[in-house]
Amino acid sequence: MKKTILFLIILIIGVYVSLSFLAKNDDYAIEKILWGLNNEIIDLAKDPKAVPPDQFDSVIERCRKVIAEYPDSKIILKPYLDVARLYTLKEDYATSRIEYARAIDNFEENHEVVAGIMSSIGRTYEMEENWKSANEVYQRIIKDYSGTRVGLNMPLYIAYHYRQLNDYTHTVESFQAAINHYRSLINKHPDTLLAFRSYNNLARTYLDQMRWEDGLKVYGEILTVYAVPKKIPAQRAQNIIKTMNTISAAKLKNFNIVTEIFNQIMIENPDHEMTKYLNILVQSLGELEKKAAEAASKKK
Amino acid sequence: MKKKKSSNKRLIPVLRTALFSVFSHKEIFCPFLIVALVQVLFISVLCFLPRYPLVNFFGPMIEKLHGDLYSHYPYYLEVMPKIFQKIQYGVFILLSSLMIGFAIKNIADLNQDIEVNPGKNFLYALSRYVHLLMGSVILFTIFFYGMRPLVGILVARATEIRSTSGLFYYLKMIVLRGASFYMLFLGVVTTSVFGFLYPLIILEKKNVFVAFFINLKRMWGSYWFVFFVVLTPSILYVPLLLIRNNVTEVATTILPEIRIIMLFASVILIFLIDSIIYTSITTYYLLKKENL
Repeated sequence: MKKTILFLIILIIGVYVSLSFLAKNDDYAIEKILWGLNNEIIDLAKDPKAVPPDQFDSVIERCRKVIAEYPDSKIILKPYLDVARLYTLKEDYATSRIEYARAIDNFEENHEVVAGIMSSIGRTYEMEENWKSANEVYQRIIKDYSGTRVGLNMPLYIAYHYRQLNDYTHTVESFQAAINHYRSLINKHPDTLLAFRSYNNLARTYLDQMRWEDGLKVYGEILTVYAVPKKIPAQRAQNIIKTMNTISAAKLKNFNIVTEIFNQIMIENPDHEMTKYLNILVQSLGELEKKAAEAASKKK
Repeated sequence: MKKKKSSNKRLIPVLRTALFSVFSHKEIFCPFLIVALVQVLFISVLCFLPRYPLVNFFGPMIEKLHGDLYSHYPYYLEVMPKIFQKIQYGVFILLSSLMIGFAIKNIADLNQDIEVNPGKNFLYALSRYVHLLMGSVILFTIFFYGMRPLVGILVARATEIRSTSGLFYYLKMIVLRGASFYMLFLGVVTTSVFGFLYPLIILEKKNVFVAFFINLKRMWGSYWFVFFVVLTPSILYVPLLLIRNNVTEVATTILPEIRIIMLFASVILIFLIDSIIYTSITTYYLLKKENL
């Protein structure tokens, strides 16, 4: 019995020591360190002005240590960004941008990451109330990283910025620039995921300007280009149709445009499985419109 | 180990003798220690499942069963106790049953003042392994499919109470917060109802099904005593449950590893509780047999 117990104790120690040795520098070890640092950063972010600078420096130092110790880790981007964010919290925006640039240097192959970091750089300019420089960064994102999610949403972000400032001229200009940008992406990259996302953003751009009819036409294009050739799941197509109906009922108060779009799809694709569904839909929309007209005449 | 006839149904002396026997005879102590060490070995391995090199094999399994996040720190530590609990079921059925049988044989030898031969007794327990295993399967099935759903029904009913204050609200909170305590209580009930099952398999060489019925027959008139014999050491587990039920805040903000500490504490306590319970029951069984 003694031997069994001794064997088990040696086995436990052996397993623990050997597994600890093998897992010494794995991602889990870094996740553990970063979790602790992240908790500290959350605490610092609660009231950064009340935090003594030493405390910021201590966390920054430890983030740098992680970067130095685990340069090849898959999750090493986080400490790079944490250092930059900590400088942002310290309101040392210039150093924060240098740190963001350092992160870009290390992840330049990953366009999605670079676009995200560049938008953070733009935000630091915004925090300094330097919209001109921020806009320059954002325009670079639009130009060089249009295929990324951040790049795709950037034209709308700029438009929203001007709208928030009640700058009517720039708002209209920016929305128009966004429309041109999305149209050009659709033409340059037809039949791609980027084109699909561009169509959706284009529709959003119109709807944000309350250009309901134009928005509906874009949704009609999406149905023709993606739903008819079954490039998107049927559920997604149904959601688009539901959105179109909602806009028609709530904003336009008539179903003329959607009915026209649906009829066009049915004429062009008489044997398509969607035609049956659209046919029923068009009939019910017609009845709905008739009832609404009767109710309106009764009121009069 | 021998007790006088008059004291065989007195709770405190029986428990005190058992406690003394556990710590003064390594023959009783060691089988339970082996079970505890095997569990510690499993916990040690579990700690490394999301780490290199085990993550290559277990990472995708954890992600598939619990979600992508749960193969990463600190989220893995939330699922680790659940994985360990499933391992414990296996350890109970496959190993604990054998070691309990082994310990019972050692206790019986000590009780009869026979020199304990651990190797021989282990082989003897091994020869009864099929019945011990079946006994454990029966106990596990009764607890898992007979008793545990009762708590599930109770909790499901309590969650339907919509009151946010007053008597029904307190009733709801008592039921919801007390679920783990009811499980412990049901465990005590199951263990005490079938308290003589293992002694009958080992000491009377009965097959599991015969032992099952004789157990119920012999338990008649002794049940409440055995129940308190099982309940008293099990109370040691209550503080751990109290801590475990209130540890979420600490685990999510300060020290996620507290969940591992809880597992180690649980193994140590179960080792202690099991050794006292089975020594007490066996001692009582032998005294009862002598007095028949």
